[in-house]
Amino acid sequence: MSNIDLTTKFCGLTLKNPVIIPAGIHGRNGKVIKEISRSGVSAICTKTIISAPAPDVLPCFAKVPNKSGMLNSVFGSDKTSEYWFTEGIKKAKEGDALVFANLAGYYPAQAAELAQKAEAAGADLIIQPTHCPHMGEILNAMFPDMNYQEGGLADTAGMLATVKAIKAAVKIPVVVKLSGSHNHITPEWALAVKESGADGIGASDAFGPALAIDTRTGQPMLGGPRGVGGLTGAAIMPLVLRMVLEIAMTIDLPILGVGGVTNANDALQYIMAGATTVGVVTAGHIDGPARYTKIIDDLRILLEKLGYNSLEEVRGLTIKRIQERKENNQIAVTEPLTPVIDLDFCNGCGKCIPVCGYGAMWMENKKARINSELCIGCGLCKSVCPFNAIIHEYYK
Amino acid sequence: MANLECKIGDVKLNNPFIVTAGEHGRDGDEILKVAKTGVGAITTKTIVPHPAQDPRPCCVPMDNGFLNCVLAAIMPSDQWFEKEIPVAKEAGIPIIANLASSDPNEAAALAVKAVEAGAHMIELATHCPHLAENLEAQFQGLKIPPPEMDNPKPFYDTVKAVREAVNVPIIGKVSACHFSSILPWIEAGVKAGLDAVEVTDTIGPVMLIDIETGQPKLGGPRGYGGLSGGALKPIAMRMVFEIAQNYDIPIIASGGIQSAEDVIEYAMAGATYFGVCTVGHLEGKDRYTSLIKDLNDYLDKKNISLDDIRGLTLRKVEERKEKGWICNLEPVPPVVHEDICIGCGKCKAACIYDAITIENGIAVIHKDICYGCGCCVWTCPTKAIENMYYKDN
Repeated sequence: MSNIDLTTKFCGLTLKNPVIIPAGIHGRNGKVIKEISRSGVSAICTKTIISAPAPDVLPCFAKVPNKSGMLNSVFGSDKTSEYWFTEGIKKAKEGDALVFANLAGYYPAQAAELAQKAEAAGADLIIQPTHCPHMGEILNAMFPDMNYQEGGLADTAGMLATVKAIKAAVKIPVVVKLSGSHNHITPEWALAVKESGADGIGASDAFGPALAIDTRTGQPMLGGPRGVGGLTGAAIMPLVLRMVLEIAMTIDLPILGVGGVTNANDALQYIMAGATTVGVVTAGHIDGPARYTKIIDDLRILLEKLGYNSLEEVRGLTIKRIQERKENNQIAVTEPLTPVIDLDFCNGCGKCIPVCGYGAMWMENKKARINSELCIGCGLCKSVCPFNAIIHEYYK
Repeated sequence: MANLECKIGDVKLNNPFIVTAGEHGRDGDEILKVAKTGVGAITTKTIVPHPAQDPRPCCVPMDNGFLNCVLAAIMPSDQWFEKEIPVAKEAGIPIIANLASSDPNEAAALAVKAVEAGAHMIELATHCPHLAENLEAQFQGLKIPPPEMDNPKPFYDTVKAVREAVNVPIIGKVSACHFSSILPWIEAGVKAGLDAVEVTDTIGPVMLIDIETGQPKLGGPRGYGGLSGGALKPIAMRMVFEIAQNYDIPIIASGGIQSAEDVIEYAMAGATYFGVCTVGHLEGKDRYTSLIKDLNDYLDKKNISLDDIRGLTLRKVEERKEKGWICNLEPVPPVVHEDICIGCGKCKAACIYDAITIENGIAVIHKDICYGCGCCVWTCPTKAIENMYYKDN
């Protein structure tokens, strides 16, 4: 067992490791948070605490086939805020993890009041969500007289006012969590979050709305008016990873990277892109809380295997690599480089042959071979080789 | 054998599978080879007036998805019109010329030449998430203004100019980057005279990192690309559904189609044609042939046609409204079909409420604990668990 120290400073707090559980099913009440804290995660978020409880419109979860993630139509805790402030947070604090209160007020003063009560109840940090792609539709179905209107995605004024109100009301750190719906305007939102006075920033909440259909009946898999929900899990990781990188290249706030982390490799990618902490939620929901423990253990093993002694050594490494591409005049490499096959490692599985759309690969004596005249250097064969036998490094 | 013949405008297709712009449309010879798979139509790679090279490496697969930073066809447009399209046409199936230009008049001129060369249809895209950054890196001094994701006017102008220039069907290919607000783009396309929309192009920008080196896995300044494949499907599905709910325009669904079930799902959401690309790129073009066969078998087995199920989900959603089912708050525990259940326990693991036990090799749902969330239903590998929502009585 590797003994690399994973202690992480985040928004003035000391976390025993960078893995936290963002708002989701494992934060549904104080007892569950206490239980799940045994998995070893450093912090667990409550489900989103709102002034009036929000029961889930059922069915509220659908797993998307082929490991691509999960759809949900939930948006807040079905417990009252009173429960959370008198009982829930206290119970949660009996566990081994810090407790982050995820909360949403309908207007800034209400958000500040919720934050104040959460702080008094013992919460260690406030997380403020920004947008939920399916909330409006479901709220309006639940409360037909509410006529809830969504703000424009580019409009940061509501977030600014809310965070300022919360910051004025509490001493504990405040983290603003962007929505996947902001992915195309990530730098603009990052700058606004910095301006708000928040202590940290998270990316991202679900992408959507998304839809999956039960082909036996034609019914949308989820409940609600149209059965649309937010997409989380492995499917969104490449989108969120890029958001994290863009935030890290735009502002200097500590970042919580959350989106599709299912293993330590994924977690490390987020840290290399510039994240300080990494959220895991969908993988734990689908596979159970042992998944959290495994990611933390494997992260230590992985760091050691790669020759690192701490997370600090890898944090933001990809930003350095991008800088190097510029300095070394490698931002537009278009000359094909034919990969080299390490025949000692190639075990002749043949996975690389059908993916080569250029007919450049063939098998000879149970080893893969490449014709450099046909190869266009796309990189696909290296990506699918299970034995790391294909050496293809454009950026050395 | 189900009858899969269909038409886009006046152009006849043997079946609704369309190979969308990608490596399988990279030149005339390749299109001839791909046509042998039996697909209904094939799209060229994007034909542009000033070709660019692809940043390397340009392809990265992930679980159920695919990242690429490929730009467009690397051959000059004249070569397409003089050689490649005439060769491709020999395939005997409709050829769709995918064209791009930032200038509507230039797009129209390309479209005229493509049709003269023999293209049966024209396709125009709205946005590419990794294009600007990679073009600017490749051509020093080039400055591409940031895209206006809320402004479909340039797309409207381009479609309109092409519409006035050619008589063949025009397909608009919308980007998944418009996922938050797709309808204005469809409105613009319909007004400008589109015959069909393809939903969707990739979503992005996206990146993945090689942890051995910290390098972005793709080439280019920051290793940005577009995401296609199964990962994109739930977002593309909702876009197809929403367009079908609001417009009559025929829809080519493309985004992660890997099985007959995926095709059926898109048809239920309202699609008429089905775009395939990533599955063939990653698993070989024979997959197109197997998809056509699998769809035929599926329809034959159920004794239905695509027309029977097209838009079924739109009707189900309407029914939710009529029957007061838009806001179920009462849990209805699912039912386990004991003759199908194999007792594998996957549902038990996925039940965060501990409402499932396996007894004598059969899953048992404890109704007093069940929250009615639906996780077990979608986790069951044999489809032995059935949701009991949305049923009369």
